[in-house]
This record gives sequence, C-alpha cells and structure tokens, in this order.
Amino acid sequence: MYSIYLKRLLAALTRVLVLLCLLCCFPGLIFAEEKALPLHYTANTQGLSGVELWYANLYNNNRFSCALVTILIIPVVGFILGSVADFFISRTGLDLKSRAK
Amino acid sequence: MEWYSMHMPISGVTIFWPGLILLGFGVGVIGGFFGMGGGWLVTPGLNILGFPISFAIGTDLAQMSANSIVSTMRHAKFGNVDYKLGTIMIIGTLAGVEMGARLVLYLEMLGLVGSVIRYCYMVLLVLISWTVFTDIAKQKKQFIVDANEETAVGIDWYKRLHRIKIPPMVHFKTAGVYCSVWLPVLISFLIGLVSGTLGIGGGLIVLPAFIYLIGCPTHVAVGTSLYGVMFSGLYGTFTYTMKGRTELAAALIMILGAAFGAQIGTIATKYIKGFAIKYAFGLSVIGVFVSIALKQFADKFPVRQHMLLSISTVIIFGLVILLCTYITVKMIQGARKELKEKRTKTMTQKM
Repeated sequence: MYSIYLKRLLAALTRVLVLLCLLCCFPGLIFAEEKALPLHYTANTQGLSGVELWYANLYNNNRFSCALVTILIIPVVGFILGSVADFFISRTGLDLKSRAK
Repeated sequence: MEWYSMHMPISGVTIFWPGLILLGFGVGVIGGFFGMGGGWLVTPGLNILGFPISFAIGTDLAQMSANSIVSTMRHAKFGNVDYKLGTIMIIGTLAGVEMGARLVLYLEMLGLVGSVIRYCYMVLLVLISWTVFTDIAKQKKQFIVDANEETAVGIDWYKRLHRIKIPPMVHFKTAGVYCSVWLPVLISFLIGLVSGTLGIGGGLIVLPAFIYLIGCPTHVAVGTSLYGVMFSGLYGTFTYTMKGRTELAAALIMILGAAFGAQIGTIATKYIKGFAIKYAFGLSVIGVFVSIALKQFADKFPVRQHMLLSISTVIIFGLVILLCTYITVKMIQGARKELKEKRTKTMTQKM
C-alpha cells in the first residue's frame, strides 16, 4: 500500500524536477531587464478633453474617488452591454434556458 | 494619429484599438465557453498590444469583473451558485489579491515585475496543462472500462483533502461537499495571491481548484467560481486603480467585444461536449506558455527582439482566432441544427 504512494510521490517529484531543470536551463527567463515605473504614477493631461480630461484629473487628484467611479462604471457598462447582446441573441429562437440539446 | 490608433489617457500609450475589441470578443467567446474570466489571455495580450504589465493586469481585472457579473446572473437562474462556498472563498481571495497587488508594486520598483510575473505564469501554465492532460488520460482509461464519457472520473485529489477534519466542519448544500472550513479559506487565499500577482482570477485556477481540490460538480464550480470572480475582480480593480494601474478606456472597449463574445461561447457549450473541451483548453494553455516564453526571450536578446515579439504576437492572436473560429463554427452548426429540428417539429405538429 505504502509502496504505491511512495512510487506516486517519486513520480510527481521527478516531474517537478524535470520542469525545474528545463526552466533553469534558461536563466534569461528569470532575469530579463525592463524599465521600472514610478510607484506614484501621474497621467499626462496635455491634449486631453471632455470625459477623458475629467477622468485623468480625477485620477491625478483623488485616487479614491477615481477607484470608486471605476468600480461603478465597469459593472453598469457590463450589465447594459450584456443585456443588449442577450436581447439580440434571444431573437434567434434558440433555447437559452437549458443546456440539453 | 491613424484611425486605428488610440491614445490611452492614463498610461499614455498609443494602442491599436481594433485589437482591443478582437481581444475582448475572443476572451468573451473563450471565457464563456470554458466558464472563466479569461485573464490568462488578456494580460499577455494587453502586454503584447503595448501596455506595461502592471496596467495590463489592472485593466484585465476590470474587464474580467464586468464579464463575470453578467455570467453570474445567468448561472444564478440555473441554481449553479453555492453562495455559502462562494462567500467563504471571497474572504480568502480578497486577502490574497491585496498581498498579490503589493507584491507586484514591490517587483515593479525593482524593475523585475515583467520577468518575474511571466516566469510565474509559465510555471503555472505548465502545471495546469499537465493537470488537464493527466485528467484526460485518467478519464479516458476509465472511459474504456465504463464506456460512458459522462460518468468517467479523472483526478480526485479532493477525496484526500476531505479527510483532513480540522473544525469547524461545514456542509455546502448546492455543491454537495462536507469539509473543514479551512480548506476553502486556504485554497481561496492562494487563488487570490496568484490572481492579484498575475492578473488572473477566472477559471484558469479557480475552476480546477473547485473541481480537483474541493470536489464541486463542474456546473456548480463554474457558477460559484464566477460569483467569486465578480467580487475579487471588482476588489482587484479597486485596489489597482488606487495604486494607479487601471486603464478604464481600454477595459470599456474590451467589454464591447466581450459582451457579444460571451453569448456565443456560452451557447456553444450546448453543442460541444466531452474530451474536445479539455483538449482545447489544454492546447490553448500550451500556446500561451510558448508565447510568453518567446516574449521573455525577446527581452533578453535585443538582437532578435523584433522577430521573437512578432512570433509571440502571432501565436497569442492566432490562438484566439483559432479557438474563436472553432467555437463559433460549432455554435452556428449546432444552432442551425437545433432550429431545423424545431421547425420540423412544428411542421409535424401542424400536420
């Protein structure tokens, strides 16, 4: 009984080792260089107008309000667009209430 | 500026906006089909389109939460959501997402965020594809004995985890699971950590975790996973916006494509069943792995950068187009057949 578990454990460990060896063969995968971004990022408002300018200003001046506005807009837009798509698809006459054919 | 280019007001990058709609549509089709948010395609996709990786994660979380809200509403009507399990999972996930987001900012300060995240992505993708193909092999073995694809059982790690009876014990009625409350809490914390760090929160990790580690039936796993993703996605969006790494304009453009794509993907699950779904899922995970590996090589070898980035872009978008075409064609074929049968039935009744 225990020998079966031991065999399975050894097989799993071998797979993990092979995976690690494969990845370690390419050190470049771990230490690629890239440009660091500043922690407090500010949006450039030059050339912006209307809603874009308002949102960018909100982003720069009041991050908390900006986050609240974002999590309000996202579900509302998602719900509206989802309902519109649902309306068009339901016109096709397909059974959209059960998964059985 | 060309008609196909759009300036993103927050990140300041110029993006090929039809690419955003295509990516949104693709992720909607694929996400709706596999029952997931699709962040595993969106984060590298947005990164390839030109967003810095931290903006790609924040934007991805924003579009993911919108998709999951619509999908959860539909699943709730089918009775596929275990609210108790989902709520316990949310608590652990939120703590994990917060830790993941802080880890990303720390790595960003060091200038290592892209490489470390891509490296973790690759390890995760290999592990997931290995799990999926092991599951298929195990299920196929049993299928040969039982000759029933529906009842054939694959990986069942949850049976061993259910033996750990640390109080308090809890019964999840809809999922039909009785286990220690610490099991979903610990699993959800790890999911949240990976979600917050890599910008994925949908089926890629939640769905296998629900099925293989908690023991949920697939349909309940899909519904409950989306219920959890809805909250973790919104929280992720909030915390990434607070840290200044969400591009709302890009997320809204993507939702435009995703809302229609999700309908096609969800309906397609009626017509495509069995091993084909798992094979498609496993192969797409491998495709994403190859694409990210090429991107990582491109950063390291500037001489071949252009060529490697081009191949990476072709693979990621080729994958989206291929899977979308397959799912859409199968959906249209199935829909035509269903409508034809409906018409024949009506005509027979009239006669």
